Amino acid sequence: MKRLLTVTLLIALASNLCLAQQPAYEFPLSGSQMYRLRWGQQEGSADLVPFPPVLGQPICAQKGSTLQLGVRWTRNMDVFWGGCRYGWCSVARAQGR
Amino acid sequence: MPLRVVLSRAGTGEVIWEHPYSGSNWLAPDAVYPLRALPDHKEYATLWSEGLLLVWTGFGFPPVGVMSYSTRNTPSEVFVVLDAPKAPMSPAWVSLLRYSCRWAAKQNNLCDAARAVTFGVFYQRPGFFYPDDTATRWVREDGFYMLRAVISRWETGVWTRGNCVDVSFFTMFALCAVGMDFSARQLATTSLLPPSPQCGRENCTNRGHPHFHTNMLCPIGSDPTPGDDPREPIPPYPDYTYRWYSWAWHQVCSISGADDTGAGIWDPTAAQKLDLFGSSYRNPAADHPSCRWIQEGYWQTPRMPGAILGLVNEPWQADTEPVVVWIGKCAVSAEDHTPSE
Repeated sequence: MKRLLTVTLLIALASNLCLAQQPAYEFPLSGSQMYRLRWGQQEGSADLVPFPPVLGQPICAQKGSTLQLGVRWTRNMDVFWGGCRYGWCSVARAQGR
Repeated sequence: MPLRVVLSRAGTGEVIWEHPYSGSNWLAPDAVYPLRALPDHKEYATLWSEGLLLVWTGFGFPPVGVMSYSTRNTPSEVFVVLDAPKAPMSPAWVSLLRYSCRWAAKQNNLCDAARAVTFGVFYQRPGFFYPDDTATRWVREDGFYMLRAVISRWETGVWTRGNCVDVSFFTMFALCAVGMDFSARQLATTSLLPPSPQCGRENCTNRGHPHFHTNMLCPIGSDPTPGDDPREPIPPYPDYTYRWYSWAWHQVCSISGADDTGAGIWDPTAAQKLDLFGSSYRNPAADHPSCRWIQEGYWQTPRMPGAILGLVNEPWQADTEPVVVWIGKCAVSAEDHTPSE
């Protein structure tokens, strides 16, 4: 029983570490005068910066223009762990349950 | 979603604007948060945010909790440009915008920004330096400019040789990336001197072709600040970074669509010691309302033998000179390239 508890705790710790390294959310940026970019590191489509970008990626925008910041969930965090629902979701989803 | 958003100047960290924490007003998850306007000038900045997220926890009542986040350590690079990037920099390269947005930071119009970018290319350290053999190195045989190869060398602290073709195309890219539509412009003349030694100037090495002699220029990669000129008595140092060249043609930058005559010239290949009024200048030619560099004057002023202003010192240039041989842009490549030394 003690060993099982230890293993469970280790799995929980590992899961949390993985989750901590992979945020389940990102912050998309939008704006009417944003422009596409490429990294300039290689030829081909892999060189393009995702558009519209999210916070953390480079942004090119016209002087004086405005941007908007949003938040979105990038993956379902409803991880079934030990039979218990464990994770995060948005306010709207929480209220909808 | 109480949050804080900060836009800072890259390099210095100076805060341009900041949205402080907005208190306890939660936004709906699909709401967008309007940010303040970006600066009304070119800028190289970083953007990050930190705050709180209201999240589902699955336990408690209500089954939600508050989670903090921060992107302070992974900010966005923000390139604020004058206008939509122009071909062949559309889309613009991140690796190039890091230079051109920094060079022209705080400039909000074409005249100021184009001059700043021209000066930026000239004063980039490490950057280009003019080769003794005057050969082009970064334009491949198929006409592609090997831009990544140049930038990657600079990023590792390596200087790169660059003649007027290499430098003017690079400058054209840097200008186009921030929304200014520039082209390269090849200028030539039919008023040439015979090959050396018939050209009449001692030490002229151009034995193979007709050519012209330039006025005293400080090539890119050298220091154009006073050394100083023999006409300036103190200190009595020779202005050793300035010399004359034997060229048959030259390539510069101009605004796309400018007429063959009367075009403004931006030439980062070399610094001119004097402006076209004869005042100390010591910078690369860059047309600007405060100091005009119009093609014909830039080429030679006054039009007479031994002219001391502009590019061509001798021979005397006819009123129809220079001749515009070619105006255009070139394609760009991110492939690696090692030029011959």
